[in-house]
Amino acid sequence: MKLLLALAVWASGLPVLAQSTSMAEAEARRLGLATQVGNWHLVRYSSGESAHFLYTQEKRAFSVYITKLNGSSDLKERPGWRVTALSRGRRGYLHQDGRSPERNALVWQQGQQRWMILGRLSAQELVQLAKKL
Amino acid sequence: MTEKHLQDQLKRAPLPEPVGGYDVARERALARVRHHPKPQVRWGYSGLARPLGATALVAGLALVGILMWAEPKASADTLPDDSQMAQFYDHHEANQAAYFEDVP
Repeated sequence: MKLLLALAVWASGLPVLAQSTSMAEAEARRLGLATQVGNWHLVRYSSGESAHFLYTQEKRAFSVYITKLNGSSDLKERPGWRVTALSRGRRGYLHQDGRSPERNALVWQQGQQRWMILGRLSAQELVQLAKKL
Repeated sequence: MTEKHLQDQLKRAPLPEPVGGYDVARERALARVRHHPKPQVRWGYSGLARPLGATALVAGLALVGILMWAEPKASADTLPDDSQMAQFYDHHEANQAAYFEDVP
C-alpha cells in the first residue's frame, strides 16, 4: 500500500518532468519544429490532444499547438477567420481574440497536422514566424 | 299443353309480397353484407412488389441517415470555433504567466 502511494506521488510529478527542456527539444525535433526561431527560444513543452510548445523572447511569448488531423481534407473555413497567404502557396487563417484584440492566432495545415501559433503578437509578426518555423 | 298454360299464368302473375313485408325483407338481404369485411382489392402487381417497395424506401432512408450522421466526423478538420479559441488563448496565457513566474 505504501509502495503504491509512493508510486502515485512519483507519477504525479511526471508532467513536471515532461516539461524539461531536453524533452521539449526532442519532441520539437521529432515534429520538425525549430527550437530557435530568430531570437525566440523554445522553453516549454506539454503533450496532449494538441502538443504545446512555448517560445519566449525577453518578456514576450508565443505558443505553438500541433494537432493531428482526422482526414486529409483541407481545413474548413469558419466565420471569424481571415485567409492569408503563407510561403510556398500555402494558406493560413488568422484569428483575433474577441476579448482582447492584441491576441492573435494563425493556423495552417502542414501534412496531416494542424499548426497554430498564438500569442500577444500582431498578425504581421505571426505570418513572419510561420514562414520561419 | 296444361304445363305451358300454367307457366304462362305464373309469368304473368305479380310478384308475391315477401314474408314479413318489404322493409323486413330488405333488412334480411342487407344483413348478409352489412357485417362482413370488404372484399380485398387486388392490385395489378404481385404480392412481393409492395414489400419490396417498402424495403427500398426504408433502405434509402437509412442510407440518407447514415450519410448525414457520418458528416460531423468528416468535418472534424474545421478551424476551431470561438469558444475553443478562447481556451487556446487562456491556455497560452496561463503557460506564459507560469513560465515568467518561474524564470524572472
